[in-house]
Amino acid sequence: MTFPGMAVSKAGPSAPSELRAALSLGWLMALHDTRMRYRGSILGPLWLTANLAATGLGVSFMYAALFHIPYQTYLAYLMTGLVVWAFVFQVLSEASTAFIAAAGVIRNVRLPLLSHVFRVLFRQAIIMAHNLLVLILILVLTGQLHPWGIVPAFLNLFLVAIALLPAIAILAMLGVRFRDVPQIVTNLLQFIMFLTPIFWRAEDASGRGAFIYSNPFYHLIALFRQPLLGGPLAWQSYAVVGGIAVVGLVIAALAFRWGRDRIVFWV
Amino acid sequence: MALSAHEVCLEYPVYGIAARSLRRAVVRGLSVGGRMGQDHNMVVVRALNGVTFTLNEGDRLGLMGHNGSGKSSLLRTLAGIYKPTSGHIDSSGAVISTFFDVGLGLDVEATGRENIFLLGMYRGKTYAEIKAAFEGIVEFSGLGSFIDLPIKTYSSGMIGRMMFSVATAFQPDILLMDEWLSTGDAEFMIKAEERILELVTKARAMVFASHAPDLIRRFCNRLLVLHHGEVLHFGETSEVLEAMSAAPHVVEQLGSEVVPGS
Repeated sequence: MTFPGMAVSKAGPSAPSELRAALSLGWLMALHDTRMRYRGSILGPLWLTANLAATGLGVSFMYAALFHIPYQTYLAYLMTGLVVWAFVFQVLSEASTAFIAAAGVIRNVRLPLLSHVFRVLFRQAIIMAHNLLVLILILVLTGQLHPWGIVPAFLNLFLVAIALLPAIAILAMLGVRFRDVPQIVTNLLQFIMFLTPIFWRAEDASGRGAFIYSNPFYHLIALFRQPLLGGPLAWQSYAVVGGIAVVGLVIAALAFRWGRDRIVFWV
Repeated sequence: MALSAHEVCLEYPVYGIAARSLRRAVVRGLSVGGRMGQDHNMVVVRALNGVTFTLNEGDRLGLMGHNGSGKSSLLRTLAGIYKPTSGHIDSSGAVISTFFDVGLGLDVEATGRENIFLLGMYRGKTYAEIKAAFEGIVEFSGLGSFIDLPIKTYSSGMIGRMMFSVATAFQPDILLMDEWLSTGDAEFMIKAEERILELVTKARAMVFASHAPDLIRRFCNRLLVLHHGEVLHFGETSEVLEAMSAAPHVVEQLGSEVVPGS
């Protein structure tokens, strides 16, 4: 297979074949990135997992007492939320540099720009896969795993990834045009982390319910956390995340149609 | 016809630091008064202006012109990296291979082997295609056992040889080259020239930007001279070179560019 994008024709490459090329190229580049993380390091990407586990174990020790929740219940709750949050956080903060990081390639060869978008998503998905292994282990050890929830929770992760995809494309375009964007996104995400029920439980924050449930990040996390821990999952979570995906795709498609030929001049 | 450009114009924005600032963009959006053009810190450059030419099967086109005359812009537009502001390019769906910037997407921490796969991928090749060509690439590059070392341990000549080997490992329909390659030692240069000639003979068309008239004379049967983004001359190489020597001011401008590494 040669990428049709390599060829220049008046009609341009067809959309499905360009999408296929972007997917496979994004995946291969993400694999390369992951291999490079393993290079010269004993744990490789598992260092990130170790970091997450250390945070979880440490925080749980004090916070479980603070919130009067049994340690094992709290640990399972925190770790499940943290795994999804780490994925969302990393994807969104790397998204704004997706095109900047690929400047040399964008300027010199004609490749589908979406491959850089998929690269970010797939790279973080691979890291999350490492985290998930440790998470399942922790849930089994603490006796908090709800086996019937595993399949729906993992299926919902796909929905989360689909909702994030247009956001990556939009942030990548903004980031390459305005160099403040990567900093803004990282700061904003730090801020959001404390407003989102990751370290604390939504039901414990009395009087803030309306605010909490209007936070889309709550629903992104709930889609995975609720089924896995056997909690109730409101249909609103599907509606919010599905809505983000649909609206995001429309905005990203319009933005891309307008900007795809300009990006090369911005990098 | 293998490759043609019809009335191709290319304009692009060049941003200063202020135009990169979101704060200024927001403030600009909020301000009530008239917008000041010069405040935007953005200049629109017209890099190509009404460029028209047609190459037949087997044509090898040389591009000449002083720095900033639009040679690289034309090559990138032909490659589909830049989209023309107006006019169009017709390459009838050919596979185009570009040979522009040596620094393309290398990962210095990765080994030569990994970089060869990376470079191949950036050239739109599949894993299987690169694997099939891999032995040939390593052999031509002469990297030998260095291939499994991180390329940060390579000399610049070795990196150049590796990149050249990847770039020329796959036969394209149309070959676009910016400047001649100054990779490595004299021995490799001879090998490289043979490789290029081989590709050029099999390719449907080639476009080659250079400041060196002797290289153009050797490789190209057509010559296009750009001046401020416009076609100054286009035709048979020898005729154009003759016409240029009849117009001394142009020769003077071009002559000053024939400096190694410029």
